[in-house]
This record gives sequence, structure tokens and C-alpha cells, in this order.
Amino acid sequence: MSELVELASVLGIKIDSHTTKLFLFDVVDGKFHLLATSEADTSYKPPYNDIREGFFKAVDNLQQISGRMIIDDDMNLIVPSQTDGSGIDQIAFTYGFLNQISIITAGLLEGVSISSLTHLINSTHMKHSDQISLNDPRKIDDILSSTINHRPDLILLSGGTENGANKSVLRMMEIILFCIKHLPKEKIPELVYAGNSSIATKIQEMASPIAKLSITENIRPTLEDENLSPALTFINELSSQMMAKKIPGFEYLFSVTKSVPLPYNQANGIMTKFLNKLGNEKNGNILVIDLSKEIILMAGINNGTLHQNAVENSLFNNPERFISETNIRDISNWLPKNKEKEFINDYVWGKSIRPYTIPSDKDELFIEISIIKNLIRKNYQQFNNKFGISSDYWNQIVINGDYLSKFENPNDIAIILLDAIQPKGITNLFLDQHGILPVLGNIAVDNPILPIQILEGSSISLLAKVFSIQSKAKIGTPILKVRLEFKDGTYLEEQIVKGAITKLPLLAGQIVKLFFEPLSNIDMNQFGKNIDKGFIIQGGLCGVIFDARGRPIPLQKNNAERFDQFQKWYKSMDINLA
Amino acid sequence: METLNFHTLGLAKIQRTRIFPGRGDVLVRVGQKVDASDTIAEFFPEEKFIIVNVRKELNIKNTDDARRSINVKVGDKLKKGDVIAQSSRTISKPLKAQNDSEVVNIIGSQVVLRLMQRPKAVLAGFEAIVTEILPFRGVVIETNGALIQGVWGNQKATSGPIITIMEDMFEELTPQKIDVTFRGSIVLGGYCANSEVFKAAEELNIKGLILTSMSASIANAALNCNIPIILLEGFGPIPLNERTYELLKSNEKKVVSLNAIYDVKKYEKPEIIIQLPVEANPPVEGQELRNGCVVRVNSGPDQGKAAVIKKINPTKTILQNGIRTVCAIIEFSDEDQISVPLANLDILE
Repeated sequence: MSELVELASVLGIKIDSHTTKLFLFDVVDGKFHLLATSEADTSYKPPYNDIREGFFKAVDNLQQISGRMIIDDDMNLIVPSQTDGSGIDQIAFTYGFLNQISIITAGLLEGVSISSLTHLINSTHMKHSDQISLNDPRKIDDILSSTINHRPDLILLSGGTENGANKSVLRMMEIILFCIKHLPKEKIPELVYAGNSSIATKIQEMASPIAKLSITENIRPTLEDENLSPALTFINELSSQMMAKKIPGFEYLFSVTKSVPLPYNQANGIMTKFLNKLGNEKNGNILVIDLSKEIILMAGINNGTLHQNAVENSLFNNPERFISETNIRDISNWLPKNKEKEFINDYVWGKSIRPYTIPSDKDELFIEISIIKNLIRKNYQQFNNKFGISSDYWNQIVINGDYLSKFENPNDIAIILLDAIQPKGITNLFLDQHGILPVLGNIAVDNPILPIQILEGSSISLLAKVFSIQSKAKIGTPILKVRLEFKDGTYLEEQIVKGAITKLPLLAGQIVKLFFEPLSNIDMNQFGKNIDKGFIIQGGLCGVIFDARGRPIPLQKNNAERFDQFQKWYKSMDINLA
Repeated sequence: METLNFHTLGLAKIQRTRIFPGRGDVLVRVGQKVDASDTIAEFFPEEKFIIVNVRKELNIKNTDDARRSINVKVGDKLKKGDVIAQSSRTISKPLKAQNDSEVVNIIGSQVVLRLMQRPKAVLAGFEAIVTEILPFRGVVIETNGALIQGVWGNQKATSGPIITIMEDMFEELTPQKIDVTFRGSIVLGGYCANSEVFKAAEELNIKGLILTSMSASIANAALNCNIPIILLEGFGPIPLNERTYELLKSNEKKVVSLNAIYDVKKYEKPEIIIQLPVEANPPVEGQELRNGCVVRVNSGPDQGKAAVIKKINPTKTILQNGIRTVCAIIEFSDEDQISVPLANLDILE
């Protein structure tokens, strides 16, 4: 309890190259609450070229919204909180700024140190410029050229289990030193060694005439065990120092935070693990999607392993890549109405030069939704391919609603998720309305109580519980009867038809009991065991959804028939097409 | 909300820094006058290295002997066929350079060569004076004049006299309108939906095209066209805003620089610059939307029209399509007023 009081008011800072967002938390009635959020454009780009300008603008907004002063007349943050109610006790800083630091990793074997290095780098925002391995098929000439061209800020060497291989590790170190010797002196990168500790001194001696080398714990102490935490903590510290040199104003925010700033990816990873534990599902799978203007981030726990992938959002940052990756056919296939190819093509190219525009009518809105579905689907497939995930069974899918906040109707967001991810089985769809998860993950490092108490509130909303029903029956065949029994004894029955999507109107938070009755060719085991006793389910913002469209969702080839499909699906989801 | 600022100014001081990545050389000096298509620096975007193991190549057993056989020193520039090393044995063949290269290091009996590659040019982009050299990094150039920023370009640059062939802001540029008398000029056309326009412009040696808007279906043809092309409004049939039209029309036949080379990641835009012999102040950058601000509608049925902001609504409005966003009341030159999402406005000042 004393710790709770000590860290009573907390300021969460979330900054990427587009948006600066602040979250003010404080204890009310003995529990942490989110009091206010504020937002400003990040002042990273010209003419400011310093992120402090945007930060102070967001602070101004926050002070106006909350009525609490958090900076003094000299623009210094007031820490700790004062008796007059001003100030804050803890500041946590999480950041985007993808690919600002270039790293080359070097290790010995695939599946051992190389895979541990990849896991480590996947939870950072560094640009993984190259990987050198013992079995590298390239000639030393090519490795040298790559090192010179990539101009890495950092080279991370690992390899050798504890008291394992040493000669090969020393050989890798020789290669690294040979390569970096050919860089201009001011461009020589920092070196980090996270391998077999028995040769750490020798490695240090080799490096010292040429480059600064730091030693951290072996990330792969045995063939079976991975030990990423110490190296990750060290890399975070080092990255923050490097970011302070690269991003004007970063150093200021770094200096006021209690713990080391974390990249979104890592902070999100912390919360993904945490939400999975809260999910009440044994061996549950969770997918967290953070769709911000700078980064598309996916974190998933599948069979107990956390996988993370962070890529640049091409729509806002790389028009050429956005255009080359966007297939007009993919966009038009998901439109509920006929639109000329020329119009769609012009809209997509227009979007590449002005990604912020708001659709001005329904036609543009559906193209916009189709672009977002396409963007999420492509990144989801890339995520699955990268980590060899072949299952689409997710117990929980959480999406950051920051970018999606313009959609007034939560059903729009639910249909975007269902069409883009096409989950199988039973899934709870959640909306992180403020994009708060990375902030909570960062705060959790020093203050684990706050995220728990905030998650009990309304920051993360249940959009819907979704039953994705698989059946080999023909389209249009009734396959299931569902019965919702309400607490007052009333009930609602509905037939689920193959090829349709059915949304039943439960109120958000309303608890009901759900019963299934098979009507035709359907495997009831897909809903789990003991289904005769019924499910206790909670309604979300969109009620409860039964998606019997099949997987993958079969879209009719004929335009008129496909538009008819969409008319029915959108009508069922209470989305107005006119 | 990030708002795009597009300068449309009759007179401003225009200063641009041209930075190159990697190794390179500056080719100009402070005070030098440069043209839009002048190369002001050269750089090597990718470098390639080759390591020659003299001991192995010449089959010499002893490293010291191999070292003694090396005929080159660090910094030497080699032509293809130049001798790198030669054994003292009378029958041995000399070891020759396979490519034009530079010796960057000799370690033991290994010679590290950097292959000579064709450098990439950094163009000035507009007529200007060099005001600063950033050694091994870039050049600062400056001029005074009219500045009109476009929304898209095909990464080429030129300069020449401007000819307006648009009668009104809605006109379409067709191949038939490209005339032999436009040779050597930069043509201000309207909306273009036919890639034959580009072929005709190339064939008649037109120096560049300023288009109001373009069908996205010919965007790749525009990228492959050898002459610079700048779009002022966007993709689709969009009319030109009056402010830009009047500004370009008033500079008819003057020499303009057309710089369609830009990097979105560096927050650059394609630019049209008309040099004027008058000192001016730099434009205000990073402006925000406010009452009285001159804007352009960048989406929807009124796209391309210039207007003035009368009022920004303090709360979010739900649009007819169900989207919730902050809107502003804007007034067009005919005094018509409409409500438009802030995100759909560009600042034109």
C-alpha cells in the first residue's frame, strides 16, 4: 500500500514519429484510474525537429482537460506531486521511432544463438540490417561490403553455450573487427557481447584497440535455455542513449523517467503476456494488433510462445511501398457496392499522398475500410509466415483503436477484424480505445498494480464474443439453433444459417447463458466439451456474433452475387450501406 | 492531426539543403550559380569491396614473401589490368586488378579493394546560389522567388519558360493539345488521363509538364517518362485551385525550375520555383489550421477548391457516413460555406 501511495499519480508518455499521447493516472477511492488523455502531433519533423514541442503541447492540453498542473513556469515537470494537487509521482515513457538504430547480429548456429538473437531483436525497434553466422554462405568480401553499406550503430555478438564453443566465437569476432576497421573512425559501431562468458575477457581484449565493447549475460547459456532479459535490459539502455543522440528532445524525456524507456513492441509484449494470463484459458492464444500511423505491430502468443513483429505502416510512411503492395483487385473484392476500378485506383493513389484524409461519403468509407482490412490481413499473413503459425485460433484478439477511433460504429471495427484475421473457434474481440497497452506495459516495470486496476476499468472494451462456426453444409442451410437465456428468465432463440453472419443484441456487460442445438451437418466438438450445460457469456459493444461464413471467407466471383453477400452481412452487423 | 502545408507564394526566400547518404563529394563552391539540372554533388549509394589474398592467388608459401610481392599501397587507384602483386619467381604470372578499384587496406598478404562505381548525381533542383558546403555531406542552395509546392512528382528536374495551355481550371490535357511550338518549354496543363500525352511531350522535346491532376492508371507511365512531371492537386479529375492558377498564369513565359525530385521521408515536396531578383523572407513552416487560414479541400466533391477557414468546431462532428471527426466551416470565393473535416484541408499559404 505504501508503494501505491508513493506512485500515486503517473504520467504515461507515448511518442512516435506522428503522434504524442499522454495518459494521466491517479488513485481515486484506493484504485488507479485513467483521469485524462491528451494528444498532439509529434514535433519530430521540420520546422521543430525536436519532440519536446509536441510534448509540451500535449501537456498543455492535458492540463486543460484535467485541471492539474504538471509543469511549472520554467517548463519543468513537477515531480513528485505536491500538496496543492499539482505534479506527478511517476513518469513512464514508451516510444515508436522504428528503424532509427541499425544493428547487425552475429552468432553461430541457426536454431541456437541465431534464433535467440532474432527473438531478442524482434522485441526492439532496431533495424536488423544483417545477420552474420558461422554457416554464412557469403564470402568475407560480401560481409565487409554489407557492413560498410549498412553503417550499423550496434553489432551484437552471441554464440557458444556456457563453457561450450569458443574458437568459432573468437573467429566471428575477428570477422566483425576486420569489417568495422574499414569504416570511418566516427562511424565505428558499439559492440555488445552476449555469448559464452568463459571467453568474455579474451573478446574484450580483441575489441578494445578498435571499438567500445560491452559484455552482458549469455542469451543462450544452454542449448535448451534462452536468457534474453539481461541482454534486452542492456540493449534498451544502450538504445535509449543512442536515441537521445538521434532524436532531439528524447534525452529530456529519458532524463525525467524513472525507468529506461521501452519501445512499443516490448511494452506491448509485456501486456500481451499479461492479458493472456488474465484470459482464463488454459494454453490460450492471444493476438494483439497495434495499428498506429507509424508502426503496425503484432504480438501473439501461440502455444505458449510470444512472437512479435513490428513493421512500418506503409500507408503513412512509405507511399511507394504502399502502392506496390496494394492490389486494386483485393480492395474491390471487399467492397459491398460496385465502384469503377478507375475510382478505386485514384482513391488508393490519393491516399498514398494524403493518408490522413477522411472519407467524405459512403463509397469512400468502404474503400477506406477495405484498405485497412487489406493492410491488417497482409501484415497478419506476414506475421504467421515469419513465425510458422498455421492456426487461426485466437481466444483473444485485441486491437488498438487509436487509429480506428474515427469509426463511430463499433460494428465497423468488428467486421474489419473478422474479415482481416478470419479467426476460427471462439474469440473475444477487444478494442483498446486509447492505445493504452504499450503505456501500461511500460508502467508495469515499476508499478505492476496500475495495469491490473486499469484493465478492470473501461479502457479495454469487449467488442464481441465471436463464434466462428465451421460446417460442411450448403450455403443457406440452417446449421445451428442458439438460445440465449437472460437472468430474468426470458430467452432469445435464433437459427444460424451457413454462409451468414448473425449478431445478437446483447448489451455491453450483460451476462447470459448460451445453448446450442445442432440442426444439420455440424461438428459440435468445435465449441469444446460439456456444451450441453451451456456457456456463460458476456455481451460486448457489438453484442455476440455467430460467424458461419466459413474459413477462408468465400467471396462470390460474380459481382452481383458478391454484393448481395455483403448486403446481407453488413445488414446483419447493423452497418448501413446507404 | 497533422496538416499538410503546401506553399503557394508569390515571393519567398527558398533555401534547401541537399544531403547525400554514404561516401561522396561536393562538386560546387560557395557563391556558385547553379541550374535546376546541374549536378552539385556525387555519391556512392552502395560500395562493393573485394579482398585479394595474394599468398593464395600467387601460391606463395610464406606470408612475408607474399607481402613483399605486393606492388600497390593504400590509396592507389587501380585500372582494370594493373598489377597488384608479382612473385619474384621468373615464371609466375602477375596478379592483376579485375576491375577499376582503389586500395583501401593491406592486411598481411591480403589487399582490400573498393571497386570504382559510377556515382549517383545530386541535382540542384532549381536555379540558385550555393550558400554553404557541408563537407562530405551536402550543399545548401538558396534563391528568392515564387514557390508552388505540388503533391506528387516523377523524380526528375529541369528548368525552362512556362507556357499555360489551360483555358480554365477544369480542362483536360489530351495528346492533340501538345504542340510543336512548346518545344523547350514547361507546359502547364490540366487533368491528364492519357499516357500518349507523355510520349508526345517527349517527342516534341517539351522540357516538363505541370499537371493539375492525373488518372492513377497512367501514374507508372508518368514515373517512366523522361521529362519531369509534377501534379499540383492529386489523382483523379480534380480542378486546379484558383490561387495556384493565378500565380502560375501571372508568371507566363518566365523561366521556372521544375523539381520533381523529393523524398517523402525527409518531408520534401515536388516544387515549382520561379526565380525573382528581389530579397524575400523565408516562408513560415509548420503552420496549423486556424480561422482565416487559406486552405484547399483535398478530398470529396469540392476537391481542389481554395477557401478560407471561418470557424473550427471545438467538438467532433458525426459525418453522414458515420465517421466522427473535427470539422471546420470554410468559405469559397463565391461566398458559399460548407463544413469539411480538418483532415481534408491542406494549408495553401
